[in-house]
Amino acid sequence: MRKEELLRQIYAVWREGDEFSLSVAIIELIQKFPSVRHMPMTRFQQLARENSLTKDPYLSQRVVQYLCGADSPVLNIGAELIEEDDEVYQLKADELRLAVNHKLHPLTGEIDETLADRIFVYFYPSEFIKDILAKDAEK
Amino acid sequence: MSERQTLGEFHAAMASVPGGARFIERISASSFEQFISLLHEDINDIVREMEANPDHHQNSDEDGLTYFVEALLKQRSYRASKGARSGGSIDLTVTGRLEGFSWIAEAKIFTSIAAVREGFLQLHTRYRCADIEKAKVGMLVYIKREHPRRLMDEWRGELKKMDLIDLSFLPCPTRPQTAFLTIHSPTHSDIATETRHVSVSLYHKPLDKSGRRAKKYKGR
Repeated sequence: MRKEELLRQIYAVWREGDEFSLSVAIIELIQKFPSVRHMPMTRFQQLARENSLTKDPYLSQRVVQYLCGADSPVLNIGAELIEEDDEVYQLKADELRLAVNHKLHPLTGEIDETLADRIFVYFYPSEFIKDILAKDAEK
Repeated sequence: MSERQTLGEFHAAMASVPGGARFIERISASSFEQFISLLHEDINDIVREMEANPDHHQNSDEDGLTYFVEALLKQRSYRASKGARSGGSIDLTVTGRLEGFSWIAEAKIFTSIAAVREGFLQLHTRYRCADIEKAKVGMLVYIKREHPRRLMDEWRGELKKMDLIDLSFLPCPTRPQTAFLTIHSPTHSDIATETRHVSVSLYHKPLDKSGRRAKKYKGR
């Protein structure tokens, strides 16, 4: 898929909505910084402000839900558990689900009521978008 | 780059957008059963949204209504397409980000029992699931007429007359009043296939004074 085609696909879902504008801004950010590995949600909220897309406080959440999905899989989600000793553990998808639904600690297997306060969520570019942007750079 | 967000903060914020409360479950679904269960919940939400605003859908035909469902599924992290080919041009095909999970559905406006019956026959004799071992499919029945439950009961009665092999009925656990499940073994596979029949009630004819006067409701 080419970048133009991807943008048309995203536009078909959101039309003139701010979701389309923020999706484009995120793709352009990835194009500008192709090696970016950690994008927290707050970075997308900052992008929304920079692009004057500030009417809706949950715009970034809707865009992330879409861009992490199967239609235009631009982003992957990552989650890291940081304990008091600053040891960082990357959660796998199943572990993330169990942490959300059952507060299950990925290393001890025990219920941990404060677990969600020590896991940090971030996003990073998918291989799908990297391939598209690499093709775009060749033009 | 910027300040970090905890899983607790992230999950709470996601719960504020349609479908967001199930976002993490959806993108981490690792079994077909998880995928289908979440998809059914998401379709329930979309149906509720349509039923809450029936006036928005009065001028939409079958394709228009299905495009609406398709767009909302895409917004909720699915790939959804109308007209994908697998044995025929399927009304709605939905997949997740993980390879191998897919669900197909036939969508019909309830103009007559015969029309719904045709849709069911297309679904089970023309279209094919991507994997017959994962045989769960759907019927979306858009009802723009009065008495949707009565019409769905008629449809249930019609299914009993259709000589479907090993047919059984089950209540829908998440929409017991407005949906039901059937299981039967289509002749092309001989594998027990679950169909979820979901009614989408879109009848809208306000009887208050302004409704009675409005041109758009005349003749309905």
